[in-house]
Amino acid sequence: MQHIHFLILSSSVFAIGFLGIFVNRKNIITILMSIELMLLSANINFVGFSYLLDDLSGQIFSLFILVVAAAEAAIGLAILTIFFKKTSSISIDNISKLKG
Amino acid sequence: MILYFFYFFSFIVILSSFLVIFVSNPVHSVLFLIFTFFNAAIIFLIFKAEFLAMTLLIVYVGAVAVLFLFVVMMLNISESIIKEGFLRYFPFGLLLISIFLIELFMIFNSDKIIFPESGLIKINEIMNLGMDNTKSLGLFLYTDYFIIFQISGFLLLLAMIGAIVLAHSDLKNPKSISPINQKNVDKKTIIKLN
Repeated sequence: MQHIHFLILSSSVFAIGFLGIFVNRKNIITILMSIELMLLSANINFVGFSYLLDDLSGQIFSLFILVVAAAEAAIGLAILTIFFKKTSSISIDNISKLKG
Repeated sequence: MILYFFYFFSFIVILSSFLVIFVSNPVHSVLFLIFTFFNAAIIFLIFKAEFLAMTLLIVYVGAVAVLFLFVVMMLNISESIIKEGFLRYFPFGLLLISIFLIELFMIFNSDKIIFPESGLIKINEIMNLGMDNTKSLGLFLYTDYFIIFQISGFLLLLAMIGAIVLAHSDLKNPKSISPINQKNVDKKTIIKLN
């Protein structure tokens, strides 16, 4: 297996996550899911290069990305629930109300 | 043989991650996200990272995706509003990601990528000592990467406290008695003898 295989896979998943942020303007939940997809593509890159270069460091750093993704999802969804409680919508147009 | 397995599962990953962002029902979207993570875990197994594959399943499917599903069902959003402006932003997004992908593939095809000759922690040498994937990860996580490991644990604690503080709200008309008011009762003022 060459490096180009998983590089194409991870860049495609990253691009799909990137596109998901653009097209879902009315739904912050799908934007958070797109961010999860982008973090997953970074994980695939780390683990793939760990396999290719015979190096364990990639898997260790992939573990830290998992930690950051879990923390980000928890905080993001907590902000989303109070945002929905205030404005009763999850559109990104209303998100300017978040400033002070 | 293993390469065809990789092609098959990576095709499923790309297809289901497409469906995550294009399906109109948010519940279906979360279910496709779970499916994506399952297939990504199989790809991690192909890359011989058994511990990370199982951790991906536990952390993402067991915690994050259930959290997403919980929030989607709690908020109860109507489907018609969600897809507004979808077609308006789609060409712009497609243009941007095509530029991004063209740049990336130009880098992949160039022969300027230099890989290091030897890794920092060689997996083959560790495997020859008779250690499996989980044991070797723990060995280096608790020695070389100890500070980062502690910081990531603290980050999780911070996220937990932050989420509780954000989501916690005081009720305006609580049915229960506040403990502070209950403690401050003085028996001389509250008991009356007629």
